[in-house]
Amino acid sequence: MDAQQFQLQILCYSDKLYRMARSILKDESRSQDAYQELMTRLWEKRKQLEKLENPQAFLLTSMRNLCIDLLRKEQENGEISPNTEYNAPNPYQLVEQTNTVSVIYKMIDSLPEMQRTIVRMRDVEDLDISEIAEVMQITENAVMANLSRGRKKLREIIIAHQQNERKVYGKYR
Amino acid sequence: MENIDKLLDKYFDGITSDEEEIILKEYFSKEEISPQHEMYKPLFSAFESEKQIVAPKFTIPDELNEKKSLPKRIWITAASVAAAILFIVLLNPLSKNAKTENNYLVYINGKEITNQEKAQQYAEEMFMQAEEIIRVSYQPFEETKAIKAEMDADKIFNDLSVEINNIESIIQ
Repeated sequence: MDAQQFQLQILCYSDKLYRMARSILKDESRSQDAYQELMTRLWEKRKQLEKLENPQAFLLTSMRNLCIDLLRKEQENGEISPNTEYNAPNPYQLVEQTNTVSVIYKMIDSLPEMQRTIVRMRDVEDLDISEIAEVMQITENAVMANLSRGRKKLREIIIAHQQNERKVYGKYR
Repeated sequence: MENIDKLLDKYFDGITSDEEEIILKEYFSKEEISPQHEMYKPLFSAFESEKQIVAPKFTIPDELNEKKSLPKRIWITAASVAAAILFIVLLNPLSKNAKTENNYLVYINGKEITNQEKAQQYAEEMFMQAEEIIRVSYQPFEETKAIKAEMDADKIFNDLSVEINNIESIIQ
């Protein structure tokens, strides 16, 4: 595989791969590093990439594995804490959080890694259940179960957030 | 509106089809939606805005400047030489491995061998194997030399001149 083929067949998935890294690592600069590292590794092994049947699934799986390895190492070294719960904002935070989309990002990021990755692959990347199953290396039923759990949890958080908002703003009306 | 409510329930249960999800996404992309659905709008907007995130640029390394790894045969040769040296050290009677001056002791593949003949025989076998590996490794270089010699420009030129002279003499 030469540079042109690499550009056409591998780098065309760049945005999806980078978004996957962001979803798992929840940090822009670490995601950039992870993405660059994956691309460098892929370039070094470009000869083997020619035989790929489903490059998209292979690349997304590789990106996920690399990010999970990074997280595991960081957790072992005590650099970061495991997944944090979504905490309803207090009235002061609520006033600051004018950008509702960023509030939603925080809600999605509070889901367990498997659920948020599946939710994003379905709703942001528009992948089929079978494609997600291949990337995650689990059955389609397991994908459906995780998608359902993730979305239900989001609905609960959104409803709770709205009730909280009404309570806070109701006082000042 | 009822339809959207049903679709939303299905969506949050994770059982919507591709077509149903398209209907929902189109509905939530509209400016004006039913007040009871307002709270879900940011969720669909968030997904849409995430789609706009693009990867940083990856510069493909220059293929010509890449550090080329040494050919495999060089490593084989180096390994053979190292193995040979190791055996010389192990067979040396002054080696620290020898328990006493009178007792003969060498370690081969982690095993203690006290029979000097056996150890020497084994070492000789290893030397022969190493020599064979070295010989095979150098084979391509020898072949290249031979090809180079055959490709001698002067020789080819001379041969051609002779050939041309022959042809000319036939024509005349």
